[in-house]
Amino acid sequence: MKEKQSNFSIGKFLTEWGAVLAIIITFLIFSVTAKGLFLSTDNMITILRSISITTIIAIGATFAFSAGFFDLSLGSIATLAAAFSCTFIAWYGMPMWVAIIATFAICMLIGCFNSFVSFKMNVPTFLTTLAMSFILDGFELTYSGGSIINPRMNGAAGQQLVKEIPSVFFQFGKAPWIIIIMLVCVAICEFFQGYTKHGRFMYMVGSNAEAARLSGINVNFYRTLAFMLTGLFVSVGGVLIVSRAGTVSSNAGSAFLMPAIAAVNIGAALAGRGKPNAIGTFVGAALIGVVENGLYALSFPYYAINIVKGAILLIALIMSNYANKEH
Amino acid sequence: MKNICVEFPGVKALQNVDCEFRGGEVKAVVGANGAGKSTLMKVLSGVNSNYTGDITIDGKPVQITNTKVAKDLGIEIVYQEVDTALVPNLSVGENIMMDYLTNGIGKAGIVNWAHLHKTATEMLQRLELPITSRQMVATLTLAQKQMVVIARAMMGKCRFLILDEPTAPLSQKETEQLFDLVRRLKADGVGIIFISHRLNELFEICDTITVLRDGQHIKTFDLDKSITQDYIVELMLGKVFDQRVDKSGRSIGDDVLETRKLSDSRGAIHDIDIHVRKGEIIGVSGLVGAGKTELCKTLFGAFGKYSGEILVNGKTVVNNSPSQAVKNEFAFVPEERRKEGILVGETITNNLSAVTLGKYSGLLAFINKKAEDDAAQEKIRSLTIKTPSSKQKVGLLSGGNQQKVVIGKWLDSDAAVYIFDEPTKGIDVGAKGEVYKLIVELARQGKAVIYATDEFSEIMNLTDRVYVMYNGRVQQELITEKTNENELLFYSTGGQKK
Repeated sequence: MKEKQSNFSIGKFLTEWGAVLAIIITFLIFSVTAKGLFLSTDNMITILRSISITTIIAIGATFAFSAGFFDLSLGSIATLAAAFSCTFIAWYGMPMWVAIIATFAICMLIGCFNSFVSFKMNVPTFLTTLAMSFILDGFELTYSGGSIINPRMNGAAGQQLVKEIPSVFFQFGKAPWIIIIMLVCVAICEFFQGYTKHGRFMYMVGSNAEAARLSGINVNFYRTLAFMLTGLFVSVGGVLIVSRAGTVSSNAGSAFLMPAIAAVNIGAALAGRGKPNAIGTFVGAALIGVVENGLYALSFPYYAINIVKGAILLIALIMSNYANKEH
Repeated sequence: MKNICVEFPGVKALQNVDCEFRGGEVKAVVGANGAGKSTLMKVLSGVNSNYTGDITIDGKPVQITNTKVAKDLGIEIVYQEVDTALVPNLSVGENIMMDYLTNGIGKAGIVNWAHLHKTATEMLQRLELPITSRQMVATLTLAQKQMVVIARAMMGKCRFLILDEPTAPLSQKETEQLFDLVRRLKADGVGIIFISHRLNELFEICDTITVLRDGQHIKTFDLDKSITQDYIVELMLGKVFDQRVDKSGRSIGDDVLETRKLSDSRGAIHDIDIHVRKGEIIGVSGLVGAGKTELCKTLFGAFGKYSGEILVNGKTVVNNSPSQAVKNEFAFVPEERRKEGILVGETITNNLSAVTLGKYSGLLAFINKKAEDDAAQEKIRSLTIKTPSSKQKVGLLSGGNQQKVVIGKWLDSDAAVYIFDEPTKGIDVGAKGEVYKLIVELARQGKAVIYATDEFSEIMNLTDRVYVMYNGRVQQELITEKTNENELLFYSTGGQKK
């Protein structure tokens, strides 16, 4: 109570600029302790590259969050996108662009279906997308015959290798392309949310759906659009997963679910914007990337890194809810 | 209470307010919005512990530092939004015995259900409330929920009960029931602090009245026959207030809106035949639950599919959703301002362009923010919205200014039919006058206006014609000039034409 009386409050400052501050501090700590390893141009590019998939998937989550819900199935959508995009080329002989666009379309359709179940059948999005993530995971395992997908070999479920994947497909996953794609995704999202009518309406639906509806806004259209854009951006991330790693394991995408949620929530508090936004999400993803990379550089045991990542998510949630309370 | 001061950053919410409350007395606290009523009540109930000054109870000085202290002192408050105070999927008994459930159970944590329902039933009987302990709160009407909250307050050793605008959502009959309850409590020696915007009620129930204005105590006096309503309004506003509305300068044209046998899919309204002409203000009157809101929402498509016909300028239109209704040139100002009207966390500019954002966006739906903000500035000026800037969050404005924002978002929408559902609910007398003026101005521009309210005085002041609703049907159509409040009440309560 006392703190609120002064214009400057430490809590408020930390929520708004904490993420940026944390990046700088982590950066300094790691630069000093892991000298040479951390502070090199190569490593900077490594960091940017390593946060790019997280960022793109988190951009997808940003759309869902801005419309007032969140999509737990996005990790599984990413896995599916990774599996489909490479095998459509390798096993079914599709031209690369056709395969990629078909993958995007399928993932957006999944978003449509999520929206239909949630808003036409009145199932909470949390539960719809949780169920959906199980279905998609199971589907991916069935499709891959339960093993890791390697697009240079026949499928375990009997699919025949018919075509070699063009090398340009794997270029997407390397610097500078992967970084450029990430920046384009951030720019598109920022433009859409901050400067277009549809972005504004999506925020309105997220902040007070009933008031938006009674202002004549087609609420379900914007919710569906949000789900579809989530599907689209997440599938971009999914395609990059396989183009970077070359293979697809059945949990490739779900590893990004938690960092994506954390990034959006760190970002929502950033600079007092108070709602999910692209730049904030990017900063959030960068923070997670820097921490993760720095911990690797310090040879922190890889199996313990989730503890730190989970703690970051928790802090992010506390921060973003503190920011909401301030409003 | 003496010399109570409360300061918020930049605002003195209360300045040296003195106030005295006695057991067995019903005291009205009135004032325009922002006068400091709520702030004073928050101090008393311990919600706002940031005050200076002295509070004494029975001559002993006390410090009300939190709500627990207030409760222990016997001060209970019933807020306007009773739903937030109750757990809907628990029984009446559990809600009443909330304190027993949280503090009285003992270490074993086992609920003595027989004891719980027996004690709750005793309280319900003592207060003569027509509810049973085992009913689910979710199934109660708003008025009954209010009674449950009051019953719960009485479970503690309540000495002072604050009722914050208790009658705002109630119908005439329910208000009577509430007043009966208040009288019984008063006879029991409970001091009642009664906050209301409906001044005419105060004469019925209150013994004394305290008027606040701009955070200052203006006057406290006995409320007897010699006091007039105009006098209180004068004290509240600090100037003489003329409630009559200048409705001149309109020309009434042909029918803009017509309905034929309109019924909604939920069975709340039946066979509504109404028509509204260009430049005309029609009233939809009736008690709470008569179907006024349901009629408004059905017209605006907010209730989805309907049966019957809606015609605009003689052509049948389909209003199955609000977005269709907007395309068919309807505008709607809903009853629940904060829930349905405004986006609390968004700026004034963003709220004002919520309907017409398409006008300010071009290629790729890119928003021309300059044009959008210019339009907002213009609306802020013409509607005299009091705000430091167009970037202010709407949730921080007063009720009256919020309502102006809700109306403002429709002003450049080219709507032909404006539907207002209780637009003056919970806003102060001064702001009410401004809302009336705005509505008349819309009619002058040739809009067809529908005005739904359960306040008969508003119908008399503002409308040309009125449809009185009862039980989901239009009971009677009346010409406002040729009727009076008694007749409105007669038909509202189901009276048949003689």
